[in-house]
Amino acid sequence: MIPTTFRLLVKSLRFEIAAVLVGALLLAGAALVVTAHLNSLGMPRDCLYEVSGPPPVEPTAEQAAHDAACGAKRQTFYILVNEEADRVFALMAVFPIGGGLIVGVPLVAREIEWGTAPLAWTLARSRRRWLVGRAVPLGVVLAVVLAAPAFSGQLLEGAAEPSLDPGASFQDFGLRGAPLIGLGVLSYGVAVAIGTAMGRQLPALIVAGCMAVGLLVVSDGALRTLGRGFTSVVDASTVEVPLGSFVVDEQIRDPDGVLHPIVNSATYVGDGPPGGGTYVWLLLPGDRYPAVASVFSGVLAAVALGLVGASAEIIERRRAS
Amino acid sequence: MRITLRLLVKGLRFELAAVVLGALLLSGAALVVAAQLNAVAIPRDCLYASSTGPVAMPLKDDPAFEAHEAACQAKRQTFYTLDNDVAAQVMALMAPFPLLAGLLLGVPLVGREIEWGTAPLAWTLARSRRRWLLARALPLAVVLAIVLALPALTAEVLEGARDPLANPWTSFTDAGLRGPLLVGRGLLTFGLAVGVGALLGRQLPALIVAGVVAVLLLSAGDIARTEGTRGLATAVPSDATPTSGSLFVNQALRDQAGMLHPTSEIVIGSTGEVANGMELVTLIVPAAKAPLVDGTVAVAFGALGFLLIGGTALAVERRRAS
Repeated sequence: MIPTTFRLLVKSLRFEIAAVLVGALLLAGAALVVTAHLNSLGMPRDCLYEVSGPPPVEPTAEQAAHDAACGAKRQTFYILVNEEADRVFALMAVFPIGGGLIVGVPLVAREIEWGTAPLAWTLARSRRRWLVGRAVPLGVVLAVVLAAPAFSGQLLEGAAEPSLDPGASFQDFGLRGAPLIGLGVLSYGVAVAIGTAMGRQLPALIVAGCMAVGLLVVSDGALRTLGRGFTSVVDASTVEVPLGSFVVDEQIRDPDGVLHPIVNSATYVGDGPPGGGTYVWLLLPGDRYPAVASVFSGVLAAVALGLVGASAEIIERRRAS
Repeated sequence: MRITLRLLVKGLRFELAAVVLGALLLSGAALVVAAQLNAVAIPRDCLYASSTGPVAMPLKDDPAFEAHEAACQAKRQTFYTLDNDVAAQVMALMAPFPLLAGLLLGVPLVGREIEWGTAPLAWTLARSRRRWLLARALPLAVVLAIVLALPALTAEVLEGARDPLANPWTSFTDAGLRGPLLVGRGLLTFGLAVGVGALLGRQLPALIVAGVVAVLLLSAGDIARTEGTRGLATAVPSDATPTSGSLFVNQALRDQAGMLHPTSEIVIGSTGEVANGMELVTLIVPAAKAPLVDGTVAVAFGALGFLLIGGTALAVERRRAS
């Protein structure tokens, strides 16, 4: 039953699946090529700006010699990072959303728009099962396809930031690894639900696209909310933000150790926080990336599954045309 | 004709409404941000003198300079924060908008009729398939151009607020994100989308293919425009400050006969002067040439869009109806 359903599903969506697959392979390939370029430079770690800092304004003879030795490699490395790696990462932001929409919208909307839904729903024992039997395997396929750019994004991050372990850094969060797959699966869930509700492909694509872009904006807030369970409190006046960590919030710690949100930072400028308190960061250290990324991706996948479930309820009550 | 238009608008009401709404929101955002930037009222001598700016900043570390800097600091911070955090983002949205608008209106125009199986009836009722297509595509192209003119104009206003030293109508800065080029991009994408929709006869595949081809075509157009513009460059002394909005092309060496040589041949003496009687010059395209360049490219994009619609009319004549 499942192989037949799946074969028919792949056949009817072959163009969209092929487009997403080709896009994923091209994007992953581009990431790997740029990674290889960056690695082939053999950039010494002490030439990286985040390790050595930017060139000093009035360098000592020793610093000047170091800068001169680093100069050529530095220039090539950072041009590659800015002009190629950053472009690939920009595409990594858009691709999972676009891929989820392209595969998710036609799943039900096309059947309704083409008028084939009544026949399919009559033949299926249950509309709900019909939908879940199509949506869940396709979601898994999408996740597997997105794993290619997600994994190559991790490699690119490691090459573009050699001083950081990409598995222990929040830099470029969402543009690589499991969160990228989570965002794609979430936009797929949104697209399936909107497609089911609207029953027309292009209008559903427009609405789902707007909602997915909104979700991108919301996902930053979601990371901050989810991240609160993993934060460390660090004194902002004595410690610099460690590389690869993520500042969830800045607050004021009073002398009793109680944290207060900053209501209006402009009123504190120059005099420091009132009542002898200190500014603190609620910080997600880089080593908590695996846990936060897993929870973040898991929550997105669960929301997507919930949306597919909601689509199953919608479809049960929906007119077939 | 009126009935055709009414039916056309009815058939594409969702897509039309989405494009109009998007254009209004984008234009509104551009105007609001422009008003916010203007409200900062940053003095001209507080603007950072970029390589293209004509404002001469005091270079000496004297008390007058310190006082000037202190007086500018607050307004500078507000202005450039607003410019980088908000205005740049609104301007960035001007890049994909004409592309999306062209795709959303162009793909379903014929593609949906074929996909839904209503094309055979429409083509049987129409006296000519070609006329049927042109009577739908041309008015829609005009509507699209009018709708896109709104963000194109408001982006000019925003550009003027972002760079008060330049006249946005004669400036190469952010070219393509505003003015006639924005409308031209939309028309080219629309023509392409109509053609791909008619050829493939399925909306989503046509949207994907037309989207990819449009991005490639527009990128190629941008490269051609950049290369073509370089040919208009003139040499000015390297220490001269060109008008704001001019396009920097390169630096070169000018010999005594007036011939230009690449800077790889540069020989600098111990005191910093260029040896061999050569003069270091900057190749720029003056800002005054921007309307000519942008207008020509916009017309070329628009003409290509209409040409594609004409090609589609021929293709529709030979196409199977399902």
